[in-house]
Amino acid sequence: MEFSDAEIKKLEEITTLYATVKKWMLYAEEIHPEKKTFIQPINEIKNAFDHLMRVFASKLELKSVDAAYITINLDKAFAHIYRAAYDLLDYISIYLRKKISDEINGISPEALTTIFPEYYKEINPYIERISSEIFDLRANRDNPRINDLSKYNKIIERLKSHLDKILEIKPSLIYYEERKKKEVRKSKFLEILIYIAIAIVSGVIGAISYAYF
Amino acid sequence: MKKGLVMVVAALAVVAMEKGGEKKKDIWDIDLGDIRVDKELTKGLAGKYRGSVRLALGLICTKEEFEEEKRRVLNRPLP
Repeated sequence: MEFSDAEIKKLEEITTLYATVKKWMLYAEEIHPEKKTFIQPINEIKNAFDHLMRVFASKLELKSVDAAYITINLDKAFAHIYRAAYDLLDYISIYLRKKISDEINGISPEALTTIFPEYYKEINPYIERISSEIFDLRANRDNPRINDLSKYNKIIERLKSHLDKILEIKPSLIYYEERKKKEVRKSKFLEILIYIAIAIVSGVIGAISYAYF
Repeated sequence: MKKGLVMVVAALAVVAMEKGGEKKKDIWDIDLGDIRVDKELTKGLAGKYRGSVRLALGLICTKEEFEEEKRRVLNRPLP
């Protein structure tokens, strides 16, 4: 079985991209709260495999084809793997956003501002901004451009690093919240004590006044 | 007359065979359909096959489910 230089180049591109897709596929399963498998990229991989088999069928002379057949099917196989990559990146970005939101949920803005000022300065605006960036990138899902894919990959890597930071700092945020709650409880207790003392003193004064006047 | 009739019938048969040939597409070039999963069915039949554990447990996220989840996540404001 022989391949031309152009065909080998395309096969290399498909294989390299598939390795990345596989890595993201495993991570996508990991990031889902219930560890679910996402069907859509599997569907794309299945179709890519089908186009590769068409190439092998013609190379093994199981099928007679014209000159363009192999190139067309290699391009189609690449396009399917590319779409699988997009679907996975979309999926990962959404679940990373969800996880970041879930981890921060319940933490007061005061705790975030004091302990983790980076959140409002950098992370929150970044996450809001990338939604539109991702939308623009997704518009080119059917037009394979490796540069777009690497832009998307950078977004994912940055989201992952933000999530890691949040997970690292979360115990400090919880500790701060607990301490604040304790302080509030303590001041409320003092407040109640003062009210009781005032009531007792008032009672005593009242009783003395009643006895003498 | 008979000979002419036979020739017409033969010509029609050839045309019909060619048309039939067109309909019969090469198996290699038929596109595969999308994967459709009925979770409840796969969970119900889990004991009858030796396949993916995730599939057997219904731990699958379909395209429609993901789009719904995505809409929910994007509509939820960040803290």
